[in-house]
Amino acid sequence: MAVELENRDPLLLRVTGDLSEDNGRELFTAVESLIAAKRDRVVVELSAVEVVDSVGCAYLCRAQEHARKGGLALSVLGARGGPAQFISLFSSSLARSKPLPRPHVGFLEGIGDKVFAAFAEIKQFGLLMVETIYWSFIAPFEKKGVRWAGVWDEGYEIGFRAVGIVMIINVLLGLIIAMLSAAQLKMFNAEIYVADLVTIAFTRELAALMTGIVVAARSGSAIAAELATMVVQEEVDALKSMGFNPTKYLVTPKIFSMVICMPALTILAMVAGISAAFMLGVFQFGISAEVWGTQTMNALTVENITLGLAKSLCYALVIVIVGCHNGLRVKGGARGVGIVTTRSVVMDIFFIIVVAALFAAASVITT
Amino acid sequence: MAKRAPILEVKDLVAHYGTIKVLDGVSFDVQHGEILAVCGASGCGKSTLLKHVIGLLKPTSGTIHMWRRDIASLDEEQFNEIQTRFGVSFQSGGLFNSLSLYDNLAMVINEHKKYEPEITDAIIRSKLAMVGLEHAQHILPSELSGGMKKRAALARALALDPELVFFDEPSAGLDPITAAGLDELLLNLRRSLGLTVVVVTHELNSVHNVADRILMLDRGKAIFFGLQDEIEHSDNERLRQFFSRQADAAMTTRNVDVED
Repeated sequence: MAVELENRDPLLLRVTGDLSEDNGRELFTAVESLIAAKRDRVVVELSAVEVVDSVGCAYLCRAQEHARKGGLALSVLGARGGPAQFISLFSSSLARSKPLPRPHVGFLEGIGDKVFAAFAEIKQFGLLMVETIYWSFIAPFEKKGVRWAGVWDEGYEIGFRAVGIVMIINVLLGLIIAMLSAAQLKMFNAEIYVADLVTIAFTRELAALMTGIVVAARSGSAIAAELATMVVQEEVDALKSMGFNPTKYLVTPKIFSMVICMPALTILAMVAGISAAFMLGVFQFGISAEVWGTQTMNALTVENITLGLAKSLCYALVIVIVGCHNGLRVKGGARGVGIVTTRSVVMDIFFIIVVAALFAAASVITT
Repeated sequence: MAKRAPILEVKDLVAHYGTIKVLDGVSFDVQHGEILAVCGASGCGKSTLLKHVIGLLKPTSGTIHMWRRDIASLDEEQFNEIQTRFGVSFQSGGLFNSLSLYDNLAMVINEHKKYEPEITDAIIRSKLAMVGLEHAQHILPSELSGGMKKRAALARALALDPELVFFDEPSAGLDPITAAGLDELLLNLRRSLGLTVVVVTHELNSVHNVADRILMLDRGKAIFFGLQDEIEHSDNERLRQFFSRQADAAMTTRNVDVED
C-alpha cells in the first residue's frame, strides 16, 4: 500500500494497493517534486491497484493537470478492470466539467436590481390590492359568490383562537398605563383622571393597535407561510389551471374573516384594558367603584370607539394583503417561505404603525 | 454472489402508519454488488419500506441489518458512521433549495470529510458531470426541471463514494434518453466500484435493464423476491398483471388512492 519511485528510464511511479486518499496525496506530492526537479517524463504504473475511489482519482487528475502545466510528460499505465473503468469515468467527467464562475452581481448593478425589484413589488402590491378589493367588496354584489365555508374556518383560527392572548395582553397593558399615569397624577391628587386617560387611550388607539400587532404576529405570519407553501408546492398553479381565481379563492375568505374578527377582538381589547384600569382604581387607589365607573362612562365617546374600530378595519386589510402579497411572491423553497414569513410580519407591524400615524395626523389637521 | 454476507438484510418487517398496516412481514436481502429493484403498484409501501431501511422511520417489529449490524441497536454516532456508507436519492430530490447544486454536494462532503479544497472541487465537478449536470453548477435546485433535480439528487447521493445507494423512483419524470443514461451510469458504477444499488421503481424498462433481483410488493406484503427470469414462471396473478401492464379491475369500479 504505497507509492514507490523507481529510478529507471523513463521514471516509474508505482502505486500498489488502493488509490485512495493517502496514496493519492502521496502520488500527488511525488509528481510535484518531480516537476520541481525539472524532470521531463514519468509513468504512473497502476497495475497493482485493486481499489480506487473518487478522492484517489481526484488526486490523480490533479497530478496530471499540474504535470501538464509544469512541462512533465505524465502517462498513466496498467490500470485494469474496475479501477480502470472508474478512473476513465471520473477523469472524462471531470474533463467535461469546467469550473464555472459563480454568479456575481456588481455594486451598481445590485442597486439597480433593487430599485427595479422595488418598483415591481409596488406594482404587484397595487394589483393585488385592487383585485382583493374587487373580489371582496364588489364581486359579491355582482353575484359572483363568496366561499363562506372558508370564511368560517379562517374566522375560527384568526378570531376565536386569538381571544385569550388579546385579552391577556390588553389587561396587562391597561394595568401598565394606569400605574404609570397614576404615579404622575398622584402628585396633583388627580388619580381619578387615570380612568379618563385609560378609556380614551384604549378606545381610540391602544386596543386596535395591540390587537393589530397580536393578529399580525399570529395570523399575518400564518397567512404568508400558508400561501408561500402553496406556491412552492405548485398548489396555486393547480388552482389557476383549474379555473380558480387565487385572489377569490385564497385571499377573499381571509379578508372577510379578518374584517369580522378584528373589530370584534378590538372591542374585547377595549373592555379588557378599561376593566383592568377599573380594578386597579378600585382595589389599589381605593376610589369607589361608582365614582370610577361614572368617570369612565363620561370618557367613553362614540367618536373614539368608532375611530378605534375604523383603525382596526384598516389594520385587518393591511394584515391580509401584506401577508398574501408576501406569500405569493415567494422564491425558492423552505428558506424562501421563512424569509417571506418574517418579512410579512415586519411589514405588517410597520404599516400598522404608519396607518396609526396617518390617523393621528388626520385628527390633528381636522381639529 | 451469495458467498459473502449480505450488505442489507431485512427480516419480517412490519410497519404501521397510525393504525394502518403498511408493511406486513417483508423480508429480503441485498448482496454486495447487486442491483435490487423494489417494484409494486402505487401505494403498496415501496417508499415506506425505503424510509424504514434507511432509518428514518422505526418499524413496529422486525429487524434490519446493514453490514451485519442491527440498525435498531446502534446509537447516533454509530449510525452516522453507517450513514456515510450509503447514499439516498429521494423521490422529489431532497436537495437543499437555498444552496446551488455545487454547494449541495460541497456541504455533504465537507460535513463528513476533510479533503483539500481542490480535491473536493474536482470530486464535485466530476460527480455533477457523471449525471450530465456539468453546466448547472451554480444553479439553485428550484430553478431546475424535475428530471434535473433527480439527477442532482443522485450526484449528491454518490458524493461520498457510498457502497450502497438507495434510489427512489429514479426515472419517474425523466425522458427515456436520460433515464437510460442513468441506468447506464448505475451499471457502470457497479462494474467499476462494486456499487450496490436498491432502486425503488415501477419503470419496467429500467427494471429489465439494470435489476439482478426483484422484490415485488403488493399491499404491504412481499409477493415475490427473486431473479428476473423467475417472474415468467411465477403463477402469481398480481405479479403477472404488473409485468404485463394489465389494468386493475378495481380501477374501474372504485376510487383508488394515489400515492405520493
